Amino acid sequence: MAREISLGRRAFLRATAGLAATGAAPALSWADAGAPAFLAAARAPTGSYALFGLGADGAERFRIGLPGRGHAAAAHPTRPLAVAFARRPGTFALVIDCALGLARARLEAPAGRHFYGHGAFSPDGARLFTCENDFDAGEGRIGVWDASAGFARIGEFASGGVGPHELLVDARGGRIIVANGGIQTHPDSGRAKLNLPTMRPNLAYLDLETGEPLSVLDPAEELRRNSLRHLALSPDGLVAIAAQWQGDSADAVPLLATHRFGETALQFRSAPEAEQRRLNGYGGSAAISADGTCIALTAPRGGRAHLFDAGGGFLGALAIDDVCGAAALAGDRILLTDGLGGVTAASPTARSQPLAKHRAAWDNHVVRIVSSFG
Amino acid sequence: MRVFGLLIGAAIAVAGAADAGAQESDLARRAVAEHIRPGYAAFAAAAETLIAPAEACDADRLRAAFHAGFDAWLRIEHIAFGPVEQGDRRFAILFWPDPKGHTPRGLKRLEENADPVVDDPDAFAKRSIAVRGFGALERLLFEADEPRDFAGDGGDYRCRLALAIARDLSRTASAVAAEWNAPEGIARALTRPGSDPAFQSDADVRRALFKSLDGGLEKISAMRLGRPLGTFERPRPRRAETWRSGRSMRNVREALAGLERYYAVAFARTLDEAAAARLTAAFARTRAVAERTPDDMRALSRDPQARFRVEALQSRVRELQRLVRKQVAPALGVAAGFNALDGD
Repeated sequence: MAREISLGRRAFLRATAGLAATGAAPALSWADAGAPAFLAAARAPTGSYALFGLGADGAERFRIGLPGRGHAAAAHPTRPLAVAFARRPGTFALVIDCALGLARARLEAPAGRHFYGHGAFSPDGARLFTCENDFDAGEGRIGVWDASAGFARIGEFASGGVGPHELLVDARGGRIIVANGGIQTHPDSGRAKLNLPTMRPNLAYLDLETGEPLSVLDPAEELRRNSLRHLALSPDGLVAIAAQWQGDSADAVPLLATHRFGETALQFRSAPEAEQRRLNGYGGSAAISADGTCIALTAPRGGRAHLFDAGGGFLGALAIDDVCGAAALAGDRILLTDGLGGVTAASPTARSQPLAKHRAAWDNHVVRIVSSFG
Repeated sequence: MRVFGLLIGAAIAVAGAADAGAQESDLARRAVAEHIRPGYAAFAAAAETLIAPAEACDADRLRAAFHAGFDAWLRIEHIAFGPVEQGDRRFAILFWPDPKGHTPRGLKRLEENADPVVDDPDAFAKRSIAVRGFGALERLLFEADEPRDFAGDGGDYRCRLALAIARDLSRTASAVAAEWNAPEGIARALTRPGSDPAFQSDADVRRALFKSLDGGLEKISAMRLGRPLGTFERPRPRRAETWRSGRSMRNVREALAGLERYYAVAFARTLDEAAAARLTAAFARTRAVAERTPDDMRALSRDPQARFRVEALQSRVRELQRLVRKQVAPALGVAAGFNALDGD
């Protein structure tokens, strides 16, 4: 039975005031939150927002009301903690206990910083890394928070570029992987893009312990305006990047890049021309199936999901209105969520299979909970 | 279900658009019978008239047929689902915009090699979408400042190429029209939702029908008007659709006429009288402004007055689209795309 909880404003204040007390409670696991496989934020038909836990079958495992629209951006590897960021350019994030339905902590961006809406935990769950904009300097930063001690801020380092949009932690390689979107913004001008003529996105690999840059990959000159935004990582180290083209959408440039640490260049992948045009120059999310054989790129403005094989060969397109969230299911399957409430399983063999339809508009991303897979 | 006493606020309420099944089936039936089928039939008929002048190598008659055929396409182009979205058909009818110049390069390659693919319709149908359709045909017929004919060097091959494009267009148009006329096909999927995975419910049908209306208006303001407008400092008249044939504004008028008709036959009856009247008037006002806007977008680069008129038309179209979203979408229970409209 799914549970319904709401994080009202007063409840949230009370919950954060009681942090010390709840911190002493026995450690809970994701099983205590209904053993969800995924997290996703959504808007209800009434206009209110919630964080959902979803099973691998697309069914609801829990929901917790949120004070506003947010991203479900990070899931703790073992404890039932989700980090929901306020809308970009937001300056706070909530750490939500999905078992108890309360806020464990409120992360405030340091002065002169705002969050980008994505972050990730270290493999042992002890630290949380967040993507941040040092907006007066125009430089990307990665904030480090102590997840074992009330989410105190314990450090930060350079993201390796401008506009670090999403990061992932590669436990096996001991690296943080950052998609630096390359676009400079300043809260004084909202989401206005200040440097399109000179923008330089990149994919940066940073040392997990020290934050030292290990490798930085730029797109070639003709794809300089392809903002690298969202990431996926396969168990064997393949990185997939979803991009947003900041030039003429009629250019129909490739919006998916792949890379493995150590390779000298990003590999851009495209569907045939007619299919590529349908994406309107906007990639929403990328995902790689657990067995590494299928890569998905979603395109909400085109109402399309494109599937590729591990070598980057185009496998086919699925037409799903407002599809944006994508995350690995077991085997060769990928879970897709859309703004009409649909949850779909896509795979190269079975193509697409509707799993569930919720009365909620799924937000841009769906996050896989690592411990839900063996 | 566990309840958490500490927490306040209600769970997400389950609410949705009012279900008005019978009315919506009517909506789909009206749209199919009174707009979509006649629209594609007219397009197929007009596309067929491209063939005879191409066979006769008569460039003047082919230019006239090009205009008539393209008009017919523009009046039904906004339908953004069903047979025309299968494979690359939509792009094989019109490949535009073409910022990388795929069409001129592809045509040049065909002409230089005198590629015999033009004499084989099946093989031609597999060629790049950039050398097929109205965009390629316009290049052949209007490329030079002076109207061209098929006489002179390479004229024979250009004529065969034009015939190949004409036949290919006619073939695509006929296939789309035939699929809409098939009793068990897309028409049934729309009027009896549940039989096709793309249209599982009335809500899916309403959404698809609405998006074609909304998307058609969006295309006019963002693409047909927005691309050539560029910025005040840098207008981009050569980004206008079919500027070579001097009919960019005619495209806007024809596309608007198609949308106005679509609204009138399909959607007007889903609104209360006052709302329907407001929309009817807004379409008429937009049409009137479009009729006063000069045909030739090339004036954008030299005449500030021309720019103001195109901008005024763009504002009208946007206003019309806002009204459509405000009045028609809620009447049909259609919400705007959550992710498509708000990027991350």
